[in-house]
Amino acid sequence: MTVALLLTMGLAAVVIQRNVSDLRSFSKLTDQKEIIRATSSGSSTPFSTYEICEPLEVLQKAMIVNLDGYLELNSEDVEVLRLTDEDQGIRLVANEERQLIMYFSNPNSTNYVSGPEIIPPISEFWYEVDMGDVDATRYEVEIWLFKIQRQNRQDLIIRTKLTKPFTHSQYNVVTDLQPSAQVCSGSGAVGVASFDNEFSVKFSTGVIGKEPLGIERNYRIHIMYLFAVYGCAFFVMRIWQSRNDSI
Amino acid sequence: MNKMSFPKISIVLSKNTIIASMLIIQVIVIVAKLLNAWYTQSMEGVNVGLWAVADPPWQANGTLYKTKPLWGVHYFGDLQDLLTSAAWANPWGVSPTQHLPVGINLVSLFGVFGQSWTAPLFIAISLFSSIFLVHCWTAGETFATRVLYWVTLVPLNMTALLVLDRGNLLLIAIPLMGIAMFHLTKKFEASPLTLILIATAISLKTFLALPLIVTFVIGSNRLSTIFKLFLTTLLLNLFVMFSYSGSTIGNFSTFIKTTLNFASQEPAENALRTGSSFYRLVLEFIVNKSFADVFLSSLSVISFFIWMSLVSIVLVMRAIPVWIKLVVSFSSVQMAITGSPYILIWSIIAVLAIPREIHVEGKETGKSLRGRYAEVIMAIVISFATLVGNLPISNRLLLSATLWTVVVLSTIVLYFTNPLNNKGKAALLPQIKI
Repeated sequence: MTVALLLTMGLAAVVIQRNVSDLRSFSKLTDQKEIIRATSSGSSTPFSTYEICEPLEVLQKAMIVNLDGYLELNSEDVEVLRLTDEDQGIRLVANEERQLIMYFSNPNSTNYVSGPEIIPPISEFWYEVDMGDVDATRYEVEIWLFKIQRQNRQDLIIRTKLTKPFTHSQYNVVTDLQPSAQVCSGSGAVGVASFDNEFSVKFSTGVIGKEPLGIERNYRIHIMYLFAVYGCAFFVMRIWQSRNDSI
Repeated sequence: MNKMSFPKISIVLSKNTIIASMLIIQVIVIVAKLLNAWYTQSMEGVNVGLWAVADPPWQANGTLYKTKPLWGVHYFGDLQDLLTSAAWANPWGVSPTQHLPVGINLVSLFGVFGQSWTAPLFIAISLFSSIFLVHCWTAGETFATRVLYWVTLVPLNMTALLVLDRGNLLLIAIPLMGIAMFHLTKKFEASPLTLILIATAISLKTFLALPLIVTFVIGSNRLSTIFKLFLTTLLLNLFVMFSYSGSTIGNFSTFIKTTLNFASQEPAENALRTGSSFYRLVLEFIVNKSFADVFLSSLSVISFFIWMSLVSIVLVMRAIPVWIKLVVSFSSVQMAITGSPYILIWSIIAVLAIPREIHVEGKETGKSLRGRYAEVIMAIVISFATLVGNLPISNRLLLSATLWTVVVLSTIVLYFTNPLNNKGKAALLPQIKI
């Protein structure tokens, strides 16, 4: 009886381990479609953003943002911006609370998501680098790579902020694309007018295709499994206790 | 040759007296803080530690779960940190947590119905747990007395409010432990339910293991009991951890490393710096602050004085069971060293567990005096443990270890020299049997 219970719990654990999903569970985005593409060259270029938030209104869809470009701050300090590549892009998914979760790349590319592969809910994201005195051309900076705030389901604001330029990594943004842009309800902008720069941004949508997604489902399974473990433990201990009493 | 003895004294101390004292002190503290706020035209002193607007969850980055204030400006930060970990497919992967899987799974309960239900569920379960704890320990009391106990220990207990506001699980873990201890002392056996309750309490707050283990070992004299408790906790957590992705052994190893890292120098230094060291408070009083700032704006100092007074009383009273002294003294040492915001929470169990009437007889024989020495040493050591907060970090860590050693040795001496262990053992110690 005891062995059967333990085996059953082990089997349940394996099933849960393989099936508990969360927003990283998708392995491949299907049916990818480009929504809009905008480029800038030495200027700030506006673009229409009416369509780009459609994927975020559906739980099983992801928004993919491919952002690429460079900014020349001065003749000696050229920053190259290459946030994403054409295949992966930044992936944005909305959870049940309509909160945006952002991934840098395919979250299933490793056993568990690690390092820069996943970045936090967008409105919380900021990146801070203390370069110290290592190099005179490097500075202590505080960067808002993206600042996306959803005030409601219609408004999405994307902006980046930089206090000082820096040299650190090819993955870091070095400019303000635009102080703010009402992405879902009007126009956005890419590029900076005052510096030599060239940026390209592409918004597309893809189907995650795994139903249902979400952390609430995980929470429910956690609770159910825990109480199943409690029940089995209690039952097994009572059996042992009664055996000891009868001896 | 005359045996050495204390002057003969006889005191009858009622549990109700202690509760009433706590109630009066807490009301005075609250009124004083409000008066201070009115005098300084600032609510800062009242808000210290409470209404933690600027204390959001530390683990907001890198997660699937997005934190947000759950009730007005209140984040219930500790709770959302745990919900954050529970949202990961592997909480011991990217941003490893020092929490055990049973605790992680149990906390998932607060996220099942979405964030709008998280705070109401947490508050309701915390309050219900504390009510049930008081209900268990106050059998035979009138309804009004029970309500008075609960109101004193929770809603008017500023530290309990701090714990609640922070989203800390102590108000759930301690009732679990307290109910289990009640079961042990009344039923004289560790039933499966008792073991599961204690394992769950330890899984929610790992540090509860230490006073519990010592209590079990010394209180029951049965190593098999502690072994079964250890096995229950381990197996429950391993079974739950197995349901998470990644290697179970690897995850468990990461948990151990993270827990040890949590006790490393940097967090320890921070905890010591912010603890309610008496020495630090005296320095602040002399050098920087006014009387009102020091004594009315700090919740921890108030809780410190209340609690240490209670600890001193508990330790020197013969009629109080040894296991209560152990729980109280060990938790006090730990809290005094690592920062004391939650000291008063322990009183919830300690006060409830104190007998209804305590008869203190001062006259002792020479044999029992050794036991009395051990108790006095423990009281002094535990009091001095609160002095270490403002010493250089290396000395502090060394002193902490030294204090722990002294307390452990004193505990052992206390147990083996207490004549009541031979005479009235059945009435004073939980007889634990599985």
